[in-house]
Amino acid sequence: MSGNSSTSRKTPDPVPASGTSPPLGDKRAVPGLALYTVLVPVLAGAAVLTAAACAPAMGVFLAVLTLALTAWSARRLAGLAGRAEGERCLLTAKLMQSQKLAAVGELSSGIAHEINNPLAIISQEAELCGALVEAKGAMDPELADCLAEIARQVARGRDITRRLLDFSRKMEPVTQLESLDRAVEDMVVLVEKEARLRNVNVIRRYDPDAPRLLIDVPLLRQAVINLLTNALDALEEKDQAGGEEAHGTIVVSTWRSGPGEAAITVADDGPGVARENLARVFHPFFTTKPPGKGTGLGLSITHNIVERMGGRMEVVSEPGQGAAFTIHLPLKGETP
Amino acid sequence: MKLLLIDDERDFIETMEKRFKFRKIDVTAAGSGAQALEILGREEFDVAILDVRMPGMDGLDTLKEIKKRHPLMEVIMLTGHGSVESGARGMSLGAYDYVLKPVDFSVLLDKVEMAYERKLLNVAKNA
Ligand SMILES: Nc1ncnc2c1ncn2[C@@H]1O[C@H](COP(=O)(O)OP(=O)(O)OP(=O)(O)O)[C@@H](O)[C@H]1O
Ligand SMILES: [Mg+2]
Repeated sequence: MSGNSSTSRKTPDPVPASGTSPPLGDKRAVPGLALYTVLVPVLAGAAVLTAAACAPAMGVFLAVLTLALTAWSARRLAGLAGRAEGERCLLTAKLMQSQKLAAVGELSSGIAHEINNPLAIISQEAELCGALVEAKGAMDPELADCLAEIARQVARGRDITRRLLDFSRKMEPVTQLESLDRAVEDMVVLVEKEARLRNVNVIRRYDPDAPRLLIDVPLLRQAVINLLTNALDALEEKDQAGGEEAHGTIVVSTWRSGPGEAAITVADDGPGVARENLARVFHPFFTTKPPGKGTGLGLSITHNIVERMGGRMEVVSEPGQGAAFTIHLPLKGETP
Repeated sequence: MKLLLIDDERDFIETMEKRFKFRKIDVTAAGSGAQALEILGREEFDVAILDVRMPGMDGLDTLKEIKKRHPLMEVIMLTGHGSVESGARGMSLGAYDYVLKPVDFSVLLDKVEMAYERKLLNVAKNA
């Protein structure tokens, strides 16, 4: 499993320098392992042999030297082992997070199926109800209003179940060669138009030599518009809190996040994600927005899409400073 | 490639038809969502260009219905008054792209070609 979400607490960097934030779970080559397994033992052995053949004073010196050498070597090896263990723990935690998301996805698609049937019956009955009253010539505006409201709420319920089913659908991505900026530009244009009305600045930082990637273009667009919608929502919150001078900026950048990776970052300078929520933002149904405004599905869908393309997601946020969500995608675009 | 243009604006349809025909693309026009569905019931198309704001059945409802009946056809949404919410909904309903009008013809043509390529890939996959 390669798609992992990671969370970290740093000041969001809306202009990621290329090559920063190394991919997590990266197999770093242990430098000079041969030093500890070959060179140190050979040196120690040589010291013992030399000591046997020369003056006692020299022997003492060599003994001390060997002691220091082996002690240092053992310490370094213990350090390396500790670090490897730490990395493995981190990877396990990420794997569990990913499996948890998958399990919740499955559960919610089951629930969505179950809820669809009663929703269908409610809407049919409401329609029938309207028709019956109408036939009796007894329809009055208030009743019509009630029936229309029932229909609206059913539609809302259906929308949620549809998104849920979407979320758990295990559709294979259909990939095409496309550059990231071309894939996301239309979504940015759409957001820009609405952002202007709200005094929000949208800044593009597209990598001029962005490579073309194998991506599922419409799915990636969907992932990106979810991030953009969240950024706009976050800035609206800030606007309400901050009054006059609070305007807000969204920075959309495409960049090389590693040797085999390209990335899209959507950063805003809104209120950011509260520390205690950082690990939960990708969970389905996790939302801090009022009912009717957010269902908490946007980021879990986005996460799911990115994972299906063999990528991973990352969030960086400092409360009060803003949030930056990054989609990392493998350059080859091949899903494992 | 067979292209279906769905828009209630006659002028727009006419110029678009002309320009696509000039590029030797087989294009058919529909004046409403209902008419589009009727045409799609008789004939198969590869890509549709669909206006979001239409009287009667609106673009998003049409998109939903199209994707239910013809999941392999790709749909490019065109809109003059794009809202982010409608864009997000359109993409989650399976649109290929969501483009603001006025759109440069060569850009649109490029998108139509990418959408067509995707359709072929999808057909090959499902074969
Ligand atoms: N840019 C952001 N700044 C601050 N908080 C964010 C940002 N993006 C997401 N969040 C937090 O993560 C939560 C989950 O986001 P998600 O997109 O999954 O759901 P939603 O936006 O609440 O609802 P939906 O996307 O279904 O309409 C949000 O409610 C918000 O608390
Ligand atoms: Mg959201």
